Amino acid sequence: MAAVETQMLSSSSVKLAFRDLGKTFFVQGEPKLALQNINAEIRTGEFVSIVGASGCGKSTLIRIAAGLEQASEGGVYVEDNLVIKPGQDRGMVFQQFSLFPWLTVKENVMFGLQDQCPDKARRGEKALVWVERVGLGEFVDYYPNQLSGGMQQRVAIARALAPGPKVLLMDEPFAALDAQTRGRMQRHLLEIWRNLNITVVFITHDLEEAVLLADKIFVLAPKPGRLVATLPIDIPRTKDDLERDKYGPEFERVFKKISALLADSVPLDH
Amino acid sequence: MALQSHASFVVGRQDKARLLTMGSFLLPLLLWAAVSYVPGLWQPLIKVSTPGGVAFYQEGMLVEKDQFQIQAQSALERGDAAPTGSPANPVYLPAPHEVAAALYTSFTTPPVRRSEMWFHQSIWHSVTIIFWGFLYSCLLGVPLGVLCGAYKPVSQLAEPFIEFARYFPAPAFGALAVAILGIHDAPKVAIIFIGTFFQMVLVIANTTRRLDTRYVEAALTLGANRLRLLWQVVVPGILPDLYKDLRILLGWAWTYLIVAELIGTSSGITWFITQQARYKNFDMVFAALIILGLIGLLSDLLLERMGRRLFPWQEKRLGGS
Ligand SMILES: Nc1ncnc2c1ncn2[C@@H]1O[C@H](COP(=O)(O)OP(=O)(O)OP(=O)(O)O)[C@@H](O)[C@H]1O
Ligand SMILES: [Mg+2]
Repeated sequence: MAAVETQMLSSSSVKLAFRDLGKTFFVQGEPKLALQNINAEIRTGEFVSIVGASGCGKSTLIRIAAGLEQASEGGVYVEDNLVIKPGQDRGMVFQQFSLFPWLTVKENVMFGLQDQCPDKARRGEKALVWVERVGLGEFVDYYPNQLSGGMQQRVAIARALAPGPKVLLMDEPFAALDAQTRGRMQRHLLEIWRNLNITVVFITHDLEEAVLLADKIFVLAPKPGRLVATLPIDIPRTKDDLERDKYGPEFERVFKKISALLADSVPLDH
Repeated sequence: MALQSHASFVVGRQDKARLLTMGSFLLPLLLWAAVSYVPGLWQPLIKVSTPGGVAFYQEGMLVEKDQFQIQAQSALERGDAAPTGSPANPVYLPAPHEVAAALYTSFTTPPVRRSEMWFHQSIWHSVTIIFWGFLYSCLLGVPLGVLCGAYKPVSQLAEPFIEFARYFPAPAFGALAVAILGIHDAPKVAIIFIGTFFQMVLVIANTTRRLDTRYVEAALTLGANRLRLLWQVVVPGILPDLYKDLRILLGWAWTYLIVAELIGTSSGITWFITQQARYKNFDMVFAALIILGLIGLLSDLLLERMGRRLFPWQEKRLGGS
């Protein structure tokens, strides 16, 4: 029921758009084309995965969307507003654990709430709700160093979501986790995504993860980073309307198709 | 079971560490004792006990071994009595028990003149000079260093001159400091300040620049403005490293102490050392050196302990990597 509603909603509005996006880095004065002519749209409430070989510009793409890096050409638009700097309408979860080590779990989550909630006690209460939502209620007063990698990333997700962003940008958030933890985190993320009706951009180099989670997959090819395919994933989410069955025949078909695409996406300058 | 073996492993490691720490002090002490007490191990000199027929020998005089032999020979040839003596070390290497005695007498000997201080007063005076010099250095150097590290324009404005100024040898400012600040403690504090300030700015600027950019970037995505970035990310982010830097810089402050205490009205423990060396009281010199080492080591240990209290987030969880 809820899924039908979101689909109807999302078909109408574009949340995030890449328009003629290009990025050139200068390495010792030499221009180096990292991204070329990226055009793509992500609808409200959509879960999009970006896959591609290492070094093809996935991080650069999402960092431009976050406002941490400037586009050289074109740009990223959030609801038709050009992104020029970081903002609380976009939350970001990094691959490297980036919780502030000097703050406790709760204080980390409180960090992004300072503008919305000047009263410290209220801010603490709000943060607590988020910490509990990611299932770490008993660890509120722990320091990040005292938590496992999976727990740290859950706090990072809570921290990114607390200010109420419309878009959640995630750069290989689970890459450093073991397989079991990753499975639980994926499930957890899908629940959050469904409950908040938030738009998710999820970078991964793990194709299986992408097929498991995403409504749509963007395939990037390297040198220079180009968008070579945009693939809607129509495998039904059979478990609780959230997760897909990764052992089903459909899953394998889609997986193989994208694998082949990825294998074909060789550098242009070779 | 696993936990137990883990615990005993940790204890075993700590014991070993403690043993090595003790060894680090015991080894030089043993070496010193051996050289001092084992006959013939070094002892390049002869301590004259009876001058015999050698006119210029006196009891207690230290002479070279071969010289002693020659004088003994010629005394015998002249038909005089040969001098006697026993092997000894040079004056600059007093034996451990002599230094221990000096350590005691240095504290119990009253000052010769009324204007002079007791030994413990000298030590305390030195400590206060270090304290004030280093405090002023920190009050200015830490904020400036952090600003240089955090903001490029500040660094471009301040650092070239500081790079230039840090080559000024602090001792060269001695006479100037006295001319400006008088002969009492102020110029001494100024020397400590000059000796540490410029280095401090540069070291702390570097530490600030080394802060992992991911914290800054995470803060930016969470809506932090410039001020919040500085106060809530950069400062707490570098604090443990900054603290370590200051501990190292404090060590440098002590090296400038000897210059500081020579200018104006000479004072303090390093002045004491200079004086005693002039009178060849090397047991006193060693005693004072040991005191200096102890003060440095103990204060650093104390600061390290405090650091662990101050930055609890650095503690790893048990069994964590
Ligand atoms: N700041 C920078 N300066 C110069 N070149 C850069 C910079 N950042 C990225 N690049 C280059 O841009 C290209 C894309 O990098 P990016 O980190 O976006 O790749 P990626 O797809 O995220 O790779 P990975 O999967 O390994 O994380 C790489 O060739 C990289 O060397
Ligand atoms: Mg990357």
